[in-house]
Amino acid sequence: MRVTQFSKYIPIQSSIQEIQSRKYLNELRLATGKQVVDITETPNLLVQKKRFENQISQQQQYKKNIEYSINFLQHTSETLGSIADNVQKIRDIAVSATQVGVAQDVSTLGKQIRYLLEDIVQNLNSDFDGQFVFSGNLLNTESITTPPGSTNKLPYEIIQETPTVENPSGLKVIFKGNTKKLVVNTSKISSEIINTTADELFGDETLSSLNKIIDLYNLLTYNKDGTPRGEKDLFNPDDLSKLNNYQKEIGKLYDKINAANSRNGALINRFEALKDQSASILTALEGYKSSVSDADYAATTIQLNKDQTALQFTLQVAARLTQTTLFDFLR
Amino acid sequence: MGVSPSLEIAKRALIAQRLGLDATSGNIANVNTPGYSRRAPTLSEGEPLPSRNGFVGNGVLVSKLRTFREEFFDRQIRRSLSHLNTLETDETFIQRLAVIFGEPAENSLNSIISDFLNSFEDLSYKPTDVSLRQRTVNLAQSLVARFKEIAGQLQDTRQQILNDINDNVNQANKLIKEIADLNFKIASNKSKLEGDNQTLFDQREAKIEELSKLIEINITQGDFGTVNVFSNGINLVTGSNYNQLKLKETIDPTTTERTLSLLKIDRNAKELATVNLQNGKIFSLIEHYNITFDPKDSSGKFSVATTLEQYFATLVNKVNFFSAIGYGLDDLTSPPPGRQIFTFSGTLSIATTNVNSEIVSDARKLPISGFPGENGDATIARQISALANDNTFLGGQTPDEFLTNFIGQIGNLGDQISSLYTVAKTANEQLLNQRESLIGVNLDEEAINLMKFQKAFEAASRVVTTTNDILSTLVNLGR
Repeated sequence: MRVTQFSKYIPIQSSIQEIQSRKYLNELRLATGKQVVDITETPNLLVQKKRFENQISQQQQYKKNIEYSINFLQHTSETLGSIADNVQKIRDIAVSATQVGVAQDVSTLGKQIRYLLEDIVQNLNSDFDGQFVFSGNLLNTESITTPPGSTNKLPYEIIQETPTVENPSGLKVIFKGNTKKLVVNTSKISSEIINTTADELFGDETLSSLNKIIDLYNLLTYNKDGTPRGEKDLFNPDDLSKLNNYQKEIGKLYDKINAANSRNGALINRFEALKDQSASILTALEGYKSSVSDADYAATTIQLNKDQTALQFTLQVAARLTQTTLFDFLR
Repeated sequence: MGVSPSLEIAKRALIAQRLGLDATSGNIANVNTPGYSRRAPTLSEGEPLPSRNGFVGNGVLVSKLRTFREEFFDRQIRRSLSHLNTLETDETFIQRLAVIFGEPAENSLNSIISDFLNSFEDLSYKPTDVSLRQRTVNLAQSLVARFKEIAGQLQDTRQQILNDINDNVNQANKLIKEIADLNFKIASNKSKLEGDNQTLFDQREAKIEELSKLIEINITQGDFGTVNVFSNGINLVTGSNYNQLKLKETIDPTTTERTLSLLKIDRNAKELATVNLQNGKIFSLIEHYNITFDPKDSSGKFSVATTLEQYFATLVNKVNFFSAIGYGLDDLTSPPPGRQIFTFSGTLSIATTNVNSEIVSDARKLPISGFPGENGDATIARQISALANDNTFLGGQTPDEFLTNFIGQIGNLGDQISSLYTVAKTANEQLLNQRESLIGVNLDEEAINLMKFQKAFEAASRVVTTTNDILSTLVNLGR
């Protein structure tokens, strides 16, 4: 083949450009630590990388949901524990009331029950991260509507009604929330209910079992005719029968709260397992992503050295192209 | 036979060798001139003269200055250049798309959409948190802003393409005229030495090759050394007559889609025919204007701008569908206020869409609850967040899958074009090399030619001197 001045330069120029382009990409890979540095270089890797990124982003969100739920459930558990403790204390007071012989002591026990009930209501009004825990999906004061007699916008309240023979104190615990569920997604296809509702704890929204504590309070504080229990107003057999009955009812309430707390505890365990599972999935996904998107330093360095060597020799050849022609020897 | 024929022979030899020296000088001078075809004198022996001792040579004649150009290579190179320029232009725009979409960076469009949809997951368990609501509103604004930025850049690029097409059509028209002018000169000079015309042939070939970079052309030979230029069957140059090209933009009355086409016009700007290009830079630019960067493309081919618009419209419609039946924190009664997250004026498009100003000014109004007065209900939030896994979102894919495949499609297209470009470039270089090996200048060869013609010139001069000496001797014989 006849070689001309132009034909010497064309392939050399092309080779230099090609090697420099390859070298640049490898330098970029080493500088950024990323394998995919150009959209057109390895589109399949780009697609895989993006898929993993999306899966990671979603998984991180589910992990966040799970972590929030665990905290919510733990708060619920602690609160339910406190409520159960107070109920147990009330139950203990009911038992001890059958054993006292002095009326003044009975009246004192009644006051203790009132304080414990107020503690229970305070616990029921507890919030986690600004949202009520036991009021269904009415999560803050803005969504609570106040019925007649109510003085605040909390979901549970001890209100004062007109005293009657049946309820000489006129006290009543009312519920202003609802029994709807709070649902959290734990994966693409599964979700969990994380709240404990009033009907689960007290049988219904009227809080009939909780109001048994008021009945107990009334029994300890008032006589049958509605007058305050005096020093000489001891329990008669009918009172004792009622006391035993209330004690049993409060025992049932205690069991219900404990059962709800057990369910809650089981849910915490499940969420803890989900959290571990989610962390494992995330680690695996990060690994997969790294395998397709991070630069292989060893391979890239070797390739870069090869390109460097190739470029060096090509440049040397290019430099020689302009060195000599026959004209240099014609003197 | 006398002495004077020797002088005549020497004179012809001097002329021939001088022409050889001139051709060699020209070759050396044009060693770096693109498209230059080397010249060499075609020497032939003169008709021998009869003498008493038989036929005696009559010296040397220069029949013509020949070149080494071959139509086969020129034709192949023209085709190759058209193809190469199509791919080169395609590659440029694919790279530009990568920049516009910010790929393959981490903070891409995918992550903005994921963040937006994931923010509804956060709201699903903390629906009353106004700061979280505000974050979702901010993410919705970022999402719209990013789409607008991308669509704006696509639109800017489209406008730039239009300017490029105009420039290139003007350039093509200039080349068409120049080719016709060169045809005229070549035909006019036909009677002269063919060597004189060769410069014009080279110049014309250079112009034809320049034109073939812009549009795919076919060349046929005309009378008196002229050529006729066709583009996909449409005659552009016939001898010294030519037609110009004109860009025409048509607007679809229904869709307002703007489409460009290339027309052949006469001297009075009358439209004669449509030039349906298949290759060349202008072809590629028109394709990108009409398809890739056209947000209203109806060709059914892969249009980046149209796909982006479709994606955005689907996202907006689906989010709005749910949000329209949702309630904000202060919406306490039925029916739902019908407050959509995204609003648009006129036809839904990226340019016309914004985040609902009511929601922007008060994040409490973000409609994520399914029931009035139930601020802890997050039915709508969960429905919107579930869009992330909705595999019927668009084209039987989830939003992220669609977007990933869309970006992948751009990447694959770029990869394919890049491979084709490499092949086309190699093929073009091979053709150029093959043609170069035929028509190009080799300085070593020219150095030898220079010596060869110089020595021959010296020898012919010596013949003149010797003949002159002989004549002097003869003239002085009688003294």
